[in-house]
Amino acid sequence: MDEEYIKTLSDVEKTAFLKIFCKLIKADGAIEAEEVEFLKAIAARYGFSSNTMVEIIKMAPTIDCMTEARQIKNRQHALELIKEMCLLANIDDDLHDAELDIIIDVARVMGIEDEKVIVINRWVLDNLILMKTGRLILEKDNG
Amino acid sequence: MDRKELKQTLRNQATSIDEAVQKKLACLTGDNPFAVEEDNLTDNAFTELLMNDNTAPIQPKTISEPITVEDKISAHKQSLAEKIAALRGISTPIPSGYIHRKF
Repeated sequence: MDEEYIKTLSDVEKTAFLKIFCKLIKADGAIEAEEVEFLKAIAARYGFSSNTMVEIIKMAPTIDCMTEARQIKNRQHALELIKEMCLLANIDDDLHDAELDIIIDVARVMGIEDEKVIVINRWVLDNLILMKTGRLILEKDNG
Repeated sequence: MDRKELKQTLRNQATSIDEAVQKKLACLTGDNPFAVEEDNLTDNAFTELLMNDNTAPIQPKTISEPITVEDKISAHKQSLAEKIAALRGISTPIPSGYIHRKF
């Protein structure tokens, strides 16, 4: 997926994104390997060190997603956040109610329309399916 | 939109990814020649079969000869093949002796 948006994020926004991702991962009470991989990969792409990630993960219980989401003023960035959240929520093939609540709450705080969330989620799922199909065809792993 | 309705919509979208992957794989590898790509006529494996249909061309009929169901099916298939070809930007061979008739 397009990651050009990362270059346009401020440090404050990147931190907000990662905090929200951490909260989302812990939302369903189970942490899957794919979610951990996603977090590690995106933290690296955002330029965060492992130590920083550990600190953010430790503070997960105290993170308030709404407060973090209110720091995202740019609509383009807000849409990218929703996209990444949908990807994270769907990547373990198990969409939990608590995950949906967080996505909806964050979207509404940032002023993103429900219909837009639906379209983004559908697009993310299509991309996930293509990506996993590609991995199978190229024999990279089990998919 | 009602929150409950929104959650249900998002949940409905998230049908089994693994199942969708297998379906996509089947389409790509041709394991299921009748697999249909959703809303993607040009990649439809069935249209490939239709394009390569080796059915003998229907013979010209005189006015007095009745038009059978088989005639209509053949004409429909030819018409469909031409339409698909037009969508794909290629020409289809017209079987010799075929008379294009509107039914």
